[in-house]
Amino acid sequence: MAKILGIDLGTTNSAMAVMRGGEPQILENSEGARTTPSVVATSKVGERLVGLIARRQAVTNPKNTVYQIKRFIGHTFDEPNVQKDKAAVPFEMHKTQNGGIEVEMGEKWYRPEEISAMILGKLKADAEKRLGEPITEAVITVPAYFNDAQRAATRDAGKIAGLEVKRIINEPTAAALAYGFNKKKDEKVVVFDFGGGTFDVSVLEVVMAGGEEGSIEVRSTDGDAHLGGKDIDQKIIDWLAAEFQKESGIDVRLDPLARQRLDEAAEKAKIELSTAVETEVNIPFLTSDASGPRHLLVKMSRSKLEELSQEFIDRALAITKRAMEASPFKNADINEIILVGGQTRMPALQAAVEKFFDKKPNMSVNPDEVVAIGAAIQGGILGGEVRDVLLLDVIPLSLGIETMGGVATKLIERNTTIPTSRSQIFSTAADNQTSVEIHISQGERAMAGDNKSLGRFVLDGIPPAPRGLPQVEVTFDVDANGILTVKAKDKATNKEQSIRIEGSSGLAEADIERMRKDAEANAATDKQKVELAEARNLADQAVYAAKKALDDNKDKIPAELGTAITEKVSALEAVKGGDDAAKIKAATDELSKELSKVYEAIQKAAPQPGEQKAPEDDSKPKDNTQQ
Amino acid sequence: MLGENEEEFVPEEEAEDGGTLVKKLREKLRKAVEEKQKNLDGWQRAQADFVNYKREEASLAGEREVRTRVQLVEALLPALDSFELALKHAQTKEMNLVHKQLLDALRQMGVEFYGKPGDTFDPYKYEALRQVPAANAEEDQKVVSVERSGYSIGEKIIRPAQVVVGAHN
Repeated sequence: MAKILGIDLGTTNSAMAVMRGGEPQILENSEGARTTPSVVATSKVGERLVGLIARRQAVTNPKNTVYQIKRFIGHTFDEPNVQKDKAAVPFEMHKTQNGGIEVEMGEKWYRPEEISAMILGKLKADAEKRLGEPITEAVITVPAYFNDAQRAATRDAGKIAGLEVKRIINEPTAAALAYGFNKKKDEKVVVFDFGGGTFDVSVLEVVMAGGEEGSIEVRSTDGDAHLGGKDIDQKIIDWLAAEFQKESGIDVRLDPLARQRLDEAAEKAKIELSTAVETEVNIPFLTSDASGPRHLLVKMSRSKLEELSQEFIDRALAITKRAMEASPFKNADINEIILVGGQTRMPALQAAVEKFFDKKPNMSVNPDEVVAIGAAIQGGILGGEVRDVLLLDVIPLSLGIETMGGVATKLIERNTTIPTSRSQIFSTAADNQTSVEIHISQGERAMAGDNKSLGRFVLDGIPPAPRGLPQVEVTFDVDANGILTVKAKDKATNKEQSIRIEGSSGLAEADIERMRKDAEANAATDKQKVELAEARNLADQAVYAAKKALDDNKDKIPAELGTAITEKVSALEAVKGGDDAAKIKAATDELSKELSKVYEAIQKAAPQPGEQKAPEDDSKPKDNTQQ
Repeated sequence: MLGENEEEFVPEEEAEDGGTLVKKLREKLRKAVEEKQKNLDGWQRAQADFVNYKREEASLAGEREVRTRVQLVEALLPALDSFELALKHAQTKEMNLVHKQLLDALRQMGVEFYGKPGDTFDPYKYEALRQVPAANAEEDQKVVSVERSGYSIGEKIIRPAQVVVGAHN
């Protein structure tokens, strides 16, 4: 089934997303960027350029580089707003016979929908390249205030680009879809969209008409087409330039390179001040005069940034107040607030919105991408992809077995999607051990004894062998219904034993929560317990290795070294049963030190008794394979 | 789930008369076939998603590596730019040597830097900061000066060279 492309066709930048594997995903353009500048140009050699490439050549080709076309689409030439916006752009525009608009580019005249189609065409081509399949259908978003003519023109733009526009949806509606608010009954949602160049605020209501998904209705919308992040950027640049001028007497804004560097520094400072309370703007060699190079080094605080942006935040809030008054709701009725647009990352703006509504706004979905994501979800709903998504369960608590020293070794971590299967190889703890007990534990605690025991069984008939040598493969398999089957198999004889546990996921939500909380609360003591268990395991291993070394090399070990080792072994055995991990570790180290002397003494004479040191414990994983 | 369906199929119906039983069983068979088709479809789709995902992951692995290098160069760019500007103000042998060291290290990571006066302006590799009048037609759309060097890794432009472009009327 072909994908339906979700497109956020913006004034300054556009973005696109599709549903993949049931999840909305932003698609990068051919330049590897997640957003594409809404800029189109015809180059001096007659080549059509779209996006970043068009923007890069704008200053050499201002008459043939068209941007902000969204301000003109679906309008008539004589509208006052059009006349005002026309004055601010360098490309030519004229009135068509029926009163519409055409812009000039490369000595040809184009309707705004044709320009938009060029942007859509690039997005379509880039998406096809990314996905490796043709794209013929799309959902395109428009501002809530767009009238029928503007919507029809946007739809035409899609058609010209070779896209069947399955639906035109409102940008705030798309944002609400991205948060899944269409599924909540009686939700009243405010979408606060502070973009690069425009500000929009909409009040939405989710209306349930039977079924699981409600329709989203726009109750009121308001905005300012000339208020956005670029105003704040300009303020920062002006402030930085003024600071520089105070010191040097030079106005650097006239120098394009210096301006560009100020621009980048302002952007960087703004981002840094989202998390830090102070940042340093450092631009060496910003310019030079008769006295030599001049540098800009100035500290900027978050409160300075807030002071610079306050007037714009106030304006946005005044508009929000107007939008609320035009809606049938009071501020307290609002259930959710969604932040859209990169500028909403500014803490001061978030705080202002929170204060206004007395409620924390949502911004867990990237505010630059949330509209395109919502458009993709709408596309998924229309294409049936969202409905068809198989709901897969996860296991609520980790599953594992008890290993040497009572440690719970997890085989399947909690939140793993089922059905799933994991295997791991374990071994024996003692020489000539012919059976192993598999004790299945469920939970997040580190020691098996603190977790829920789901069952146990014994695998016997393991041929006698030194500890650590036999390979027992333990497999956990959880099917789609949460039924756990645990199987243990001796790799040498292929003998196996298994158990089937039905209730492994049938825990009440409260139990699961309690078990998780327990694990969190006991994390520190559990860690100590594991450390102790591990110290004891290592001690066992050292004692085992020491005795074996003494036995195997009786004639090669000098008598006094033999006595020393025996003493250390006794010392270690004396503390091993205690609860002091540090003491056990110290005694183990002492013994290991003596042991290393044995290896020196018998270096080449005996065949590597050290080999015996490696295989050790009952169930400590030696290998890790997946089925 | 399979278990439940199996159970549904069985005994008490045997007591019913043949016709009704066949009818009921037919209906059940139809439903079962329908469900099988739905499950098969879902499973195939999941399989396809997974295969596609794996393929994509494999191709992304290489891309991710380049991306990491790009991020590193991006983080270094302001310092590299300042270095370049410092050289314009005061060229010393020592500074040139250090700059060369830096660029050599980047080159070893596959990073190329470019941009010189006389290059043809190409928006795929250059960004025009300013335009100045050119004395003759040959200098039209040619780079007059490089304000900041461009950096690339293979085909990927990390930052276009920022230049002043000549224009001849």
